[in-house]
Amino acid sequence: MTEEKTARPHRARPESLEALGFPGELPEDWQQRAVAALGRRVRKQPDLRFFLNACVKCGACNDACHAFLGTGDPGNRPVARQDLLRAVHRRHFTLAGRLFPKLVGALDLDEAMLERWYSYFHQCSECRRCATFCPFGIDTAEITMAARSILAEIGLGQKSVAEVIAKVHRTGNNLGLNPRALRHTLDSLEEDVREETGMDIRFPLDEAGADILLVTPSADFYSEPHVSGLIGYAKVLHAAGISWTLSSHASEAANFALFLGSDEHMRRIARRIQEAAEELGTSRLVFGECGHAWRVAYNFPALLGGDVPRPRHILDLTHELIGNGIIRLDPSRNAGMAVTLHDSCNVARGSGMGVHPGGQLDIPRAVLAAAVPRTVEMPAGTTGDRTFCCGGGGGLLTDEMMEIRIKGAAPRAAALRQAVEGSGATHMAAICAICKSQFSEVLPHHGFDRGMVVGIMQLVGRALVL
Amino acid sequence: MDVLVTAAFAFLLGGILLRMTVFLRRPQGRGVQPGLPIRGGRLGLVEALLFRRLWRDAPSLWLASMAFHGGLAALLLAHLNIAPHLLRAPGAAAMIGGLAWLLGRRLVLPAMRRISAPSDFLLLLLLLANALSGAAFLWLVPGEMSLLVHQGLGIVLFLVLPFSKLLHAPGIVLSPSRRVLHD
Ligand code: SF4
Ligand code: SF4
Repeated sequence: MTEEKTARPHRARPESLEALGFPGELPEDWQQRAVAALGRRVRKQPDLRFFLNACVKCGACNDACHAFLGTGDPGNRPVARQDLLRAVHRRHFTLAGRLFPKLVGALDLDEAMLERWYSYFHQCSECRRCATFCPFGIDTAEITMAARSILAEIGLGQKSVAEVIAKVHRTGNNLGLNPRALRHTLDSLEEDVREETGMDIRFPLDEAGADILLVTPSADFYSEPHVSGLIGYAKVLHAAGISWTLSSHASEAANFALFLGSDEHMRRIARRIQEAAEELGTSRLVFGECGHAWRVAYNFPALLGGDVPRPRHILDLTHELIGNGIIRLDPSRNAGMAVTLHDSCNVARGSGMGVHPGGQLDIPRAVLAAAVPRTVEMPAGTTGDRTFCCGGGGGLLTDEMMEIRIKGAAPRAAALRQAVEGSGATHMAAICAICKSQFSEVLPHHGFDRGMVVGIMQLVGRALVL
Repeated sequence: MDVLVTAAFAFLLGGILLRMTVFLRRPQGRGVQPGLPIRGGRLGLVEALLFRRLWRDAPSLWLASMAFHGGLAALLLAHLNIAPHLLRAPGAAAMIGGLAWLLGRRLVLPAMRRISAPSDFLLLLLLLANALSGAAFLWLVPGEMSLLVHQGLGIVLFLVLPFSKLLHAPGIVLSPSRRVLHD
């Protein structure tokens, strides 16, 4: 069976788990601990209890998951994934499951089950596409997050995610860049832009009193096509005459604690950003192109409580600046491009943008259309709130997961091929650091050039009339 | 027998209410809202009951499910003496047809077999047995025995339902992710 030799990410080392307050190794009594953790999670989160109880096994979600479509592994069907947690929940928390486990599909949490949890809950990118197919909106991502948090509580964490969370707590960003290195990077960007435009466009860091604190994924500091996006933000803010700054205390928009399903760590990372804003005395937060970061940011009021305002998306701001004529774009500077938009799952299905419902789908399209001569769409059912995950979300973006990442990108690649062959698309724009990295790496395996992958703000930066 | 049926029905209602209370509590502690920003804005009750997305995604499943649930609703009304002569025959036909389709696809499609537990089949069978025994009593072999069989099956159904996945019913309106995100 294909099912048994499935992908699994490297396990976190004991030190990195302990740094996050989790046990470093599987404890003796891991079964009891895991079941207790499941009980706590379900009590705290009625929506999880609903998702575990309401499934009627109708199969409407059967073909919704890119991981299933790409691998063909039935264990990657959304309902099969949910059932791994559901079966254990049934066994321990329902009368029928305690009395007649076989009858109702209840299973014990034994070692084999633990293995399956570790593998299948790490093949889910928490993209929620399946939830839009389920008549009851059952959200597998929520179940995956719960399962991963339970795994962490018994010392089974995913290496890259655990390390990244520890790093952001320590240094303020996923890369572990210190303020000096960051300033240095920004200096060289200023130089590049001066050469390109002949203008002094600043990349301010830690400047108190700026109007806007810009928070962006740290990928924007070091590799393409991400850096070009950062240049795009700087140019737009410069052209609009808005004073802004980055922060070395919060030099990261990404919040990998969402992937782990740890509310506590998610809050801690989010709070850093709030602290930075307070320290610098900036009243407005703007987020750069990062999918899951935007989902978390969109939820700041609920997450951080009090009167924390909702941050703004850089695309929303740019859209407004274009709309009222403060900045002007010249699409002919992107001549020859026909660009299709890959909606990032966490933007399309996990958040909103601007003031109108559906803004998270319309605003990126409007900005893109203003920046390039021609835009095209991929087939219906693969975009908008039905967008396919890039295959690298949810913490899957590691080398050891490459095979599943390539396969998971297959549905998106097929849709892109239709846009290329049918409508002459030359590029695909993404608004998420993970999507951009993932596509740059895996699209070549599907016969595309890695240079096809661009960011919207990158294109805006090129089209901007300074 | 009537008393038993009524008691079992009261048990069912109590069970539903008890299980529903769980979902009326607001989620606490979790910082990220579970809502899905589905295009078209707020899901109204009409949308919730019509399952338009399912209609587009899986029309045959939608049809079978609508036939079954619609038939069930019609027969419930008929049992409460509301237009019984009007509702009985179409209700029974819809319910039996819908259930047969649901059971058939669960048996025949490998993907469906794979995701099904024995209880998923048994529940459909129990519902089908209820519908068929009622139809038999009405139209094929009227009489004391048939009625007893139908009532007995009814009692079993009412006793089993609160422990089943019946919970998808309140979920139509209370599902956390069907509460739209933009609240
Ligand atoms: S959330 Fe996405 S990756 Fe996870 S099961 Fe659903 S469709 Fe698949
Ligand atoms: S669509 Fe929803 S109810 Fe149907 S099998 Fe999938 S998760 Fe269960």
